[in-house]
Amino acid sequence: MSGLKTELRELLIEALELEDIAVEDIDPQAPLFGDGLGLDSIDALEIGVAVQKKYNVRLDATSEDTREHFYSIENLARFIESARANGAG
Amino acid sequence: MNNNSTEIDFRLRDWQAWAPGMSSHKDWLAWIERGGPPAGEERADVSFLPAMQRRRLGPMARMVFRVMEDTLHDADDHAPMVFASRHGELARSYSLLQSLAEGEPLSPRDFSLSVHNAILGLHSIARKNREPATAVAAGLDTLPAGLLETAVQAAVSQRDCLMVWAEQSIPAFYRHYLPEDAPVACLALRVAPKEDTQAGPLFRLAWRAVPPGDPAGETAVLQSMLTGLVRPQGRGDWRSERRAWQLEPVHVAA
Repeated sequence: MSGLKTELRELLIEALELEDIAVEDIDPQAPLFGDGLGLDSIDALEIGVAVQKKYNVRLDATSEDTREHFYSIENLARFIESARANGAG
Repeated sequence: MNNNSTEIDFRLRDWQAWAPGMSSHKDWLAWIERGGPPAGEERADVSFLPAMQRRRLGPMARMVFRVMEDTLHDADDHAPMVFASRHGELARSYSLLQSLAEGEPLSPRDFSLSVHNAILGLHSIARKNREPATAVAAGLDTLPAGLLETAVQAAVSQRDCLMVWAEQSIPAFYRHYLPEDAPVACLALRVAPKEDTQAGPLFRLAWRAVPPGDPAGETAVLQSMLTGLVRPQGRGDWRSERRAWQLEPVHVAA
């Protein structure tokens, strides 16, 4: 799980071209959007595509749970773990 | 020019240009004499922007932000803007088309930035500028067409309008279709209406239809235009496929 969290932070930096931001700068528990890292809706879509490409896990844009999965790196890691455990993808 | 030509007068309050290795007026005045493609690899410095705003800027947007920063002097300095580019961020469109061809999902970021006025959109958000923004693409007439649009807007609104023209290197895939030179450069012109006598020197842009013929390439047009605008006693004179353009200072008798 901690390996996955590091991997996700690297994925975020690469996919969103977050120049000047290092893996250590992203607190796995901090909100990714709004007051936290300050990402926006385009970033959310970009993360969705990057996660789909890398982990073959689809995030449903219309699902209420998606907001929760996207809240932080920790939530995203938990979601990917459980999706993998359920054999999705 | 002659009886068949159409013309518009405007004033130039300020100008800034950027290309790899060239940013000061001195660099550009030397280039006007020398000509040739600007050479160099570096990207325009936009470290004045917060990192989160910088990250979506491609090489072309960085040039535009750089010259705009030098042309708009303080945060409240807002003006209508005209973006002119023959190809825009072609590398972004090419990458989207490649994803489509390979059946890959499209990058939402690239998609959102793939329209011709996206750079001015990003710029207006960063500067909280709610003034009109216009995007122009007109083949080999793009540079003068951008200036014409800006001069018309300045004349109609009776206030300063900004033109920013930019080209970046085009993906190798398209080179075969574009045998002409393609400069990597960016030019901002702060244009004022001719009635604003304090704004700076008065110029006249004139054009007329001509029989089809060999057009000047974009680098030559940039050189001609700057010759007419910023070189003392300069006069710009060039032709595109079907139009002849002329740009020169207007000397008003005292």
